[in-house]
Amino acid sequence: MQSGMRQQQGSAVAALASNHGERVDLDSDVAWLSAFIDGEAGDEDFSDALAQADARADWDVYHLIGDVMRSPALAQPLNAGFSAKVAAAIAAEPAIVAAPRRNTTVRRRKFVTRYGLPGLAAAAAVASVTWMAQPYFLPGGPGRNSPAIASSVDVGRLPAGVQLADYLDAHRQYSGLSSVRQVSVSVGTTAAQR
Amino acid sequence: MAVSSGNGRMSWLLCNLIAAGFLAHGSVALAAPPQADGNDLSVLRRIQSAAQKLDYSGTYTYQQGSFMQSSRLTHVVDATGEHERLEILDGVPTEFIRHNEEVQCLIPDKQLIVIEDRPTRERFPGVLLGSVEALGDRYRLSVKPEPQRVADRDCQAISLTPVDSERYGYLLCADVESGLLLKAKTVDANGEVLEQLAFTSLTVGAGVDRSKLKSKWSTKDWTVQRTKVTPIDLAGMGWTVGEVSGFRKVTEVKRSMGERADVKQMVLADGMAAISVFIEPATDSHPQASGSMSRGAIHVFGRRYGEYWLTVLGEAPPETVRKVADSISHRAASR
Repeated sequence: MQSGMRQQQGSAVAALASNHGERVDLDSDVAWLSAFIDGEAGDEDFSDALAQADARADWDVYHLIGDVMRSPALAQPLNAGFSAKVAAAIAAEPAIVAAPRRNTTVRRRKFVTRYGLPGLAAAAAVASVTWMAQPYFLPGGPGRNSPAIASSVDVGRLPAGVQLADYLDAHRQYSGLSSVRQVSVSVGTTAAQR
Repeated sequence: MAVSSGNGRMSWLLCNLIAAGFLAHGSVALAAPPQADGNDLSVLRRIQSAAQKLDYSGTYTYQQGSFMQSSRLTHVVDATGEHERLEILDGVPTEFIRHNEEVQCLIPDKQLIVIEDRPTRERFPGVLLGSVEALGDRYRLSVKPEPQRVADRDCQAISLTPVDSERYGYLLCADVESGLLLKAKTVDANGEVLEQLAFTSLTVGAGVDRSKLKSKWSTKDWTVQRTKVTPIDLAGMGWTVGEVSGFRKVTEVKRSMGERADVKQMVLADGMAAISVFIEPATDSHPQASGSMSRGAIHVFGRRYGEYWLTVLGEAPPETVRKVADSISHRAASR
């Protein structure tokens, strides 16, 4: 499935999502994130953790999942360098003195249920989001046009990925007027069609 | 013309049904005479026949919402049958080369040829699909007296208005000279256009350049894959799918899909539109809850049924797709 084609075409989301997928059952890797979201980590811990290479990707994926769960229309990858630009902008701002955030409140718990879906739960969320959000038409092939499709790349790596495009391909062989013929290439085998 | 087109259709259906192991249905299809039922379906049969029997070459554009895609189509009939080449002009380069019942899909990005062994000939610029006899009961057909113009050709406007809310309507325009379909719009009950496609240029007959049938790519050393599609008998396996809203069974097969080797598919059609039912063992990667989505004229509904996952999709209003999904039931096979 992670054939060159899709990998290449994958947008930022694909990269982030597959990154996440590889560590789906290693909860400890994202424990820092859960801890922070739970209000159980200090700002310093958080900054240190976030400074690591993959950490920001995890952070982005968590937020993407949360976004998409609220609205499939938000299944957009972050602009490359967006975080960096924001960070730079913030760094340029004068410092604001504020009390450290270090309390566990009900509000933070809610935040967890909305954003912090650890491990497999997160993967399952991505799977169902893909099902709901994946655009029907895959112009010119999977993954190139729509960011939402990118998350299906991740799903496709699960043992038996649900890819709407496969069903549509199969249907197209028998549907008359719908003329957009497309090919979905997956895991060595291919479903083709019109 | 109408009669020969009917035969062409029937022989296709028959071929399909024999292949599917349904000789009984095949003979039924052969025995059933074309019926007009107050609707003169000959205009649709002429479209179908023209699509299969004429030489033509042109470019058409498909549009749905903000999505648009152009394709170049060349169709030539000779002593060995139909030859067709379809080039997708936008996005990932892809070509479909067809000779009668065999379709090769060429994907240069992957140096891959995918061979699909059970294609349908019933697609644009053809229109009819499945049981034509019932079409007159499902749509009111009217032909507009004043000709229209598409791709620099005079065409005859035909409207197919559904008699109920369980299907979409169609506005067609067929070439006066050849009968070929030049333009088609799928419309909902409010008259909103859900999707449309139209030739932007077309050559019919002697002017068609046969050399355009040849792929522009050299496919030497490309990988060849065949999609596995096997006829099955879903009823024999204990599955019941209701033929609701005038959608009748057209075919049923087992196919591989990605890593999943065992996906059963039944196709239902009402003469114009098709609905596919997919049945497969549920896995962790299937959604836990029922879900639906739509794009243009296509609606999809997925739900869990015991240890199975069902996906129903087709060019029909969501209520109809849902109705088909709800009609599916299973009893342990008796044999």
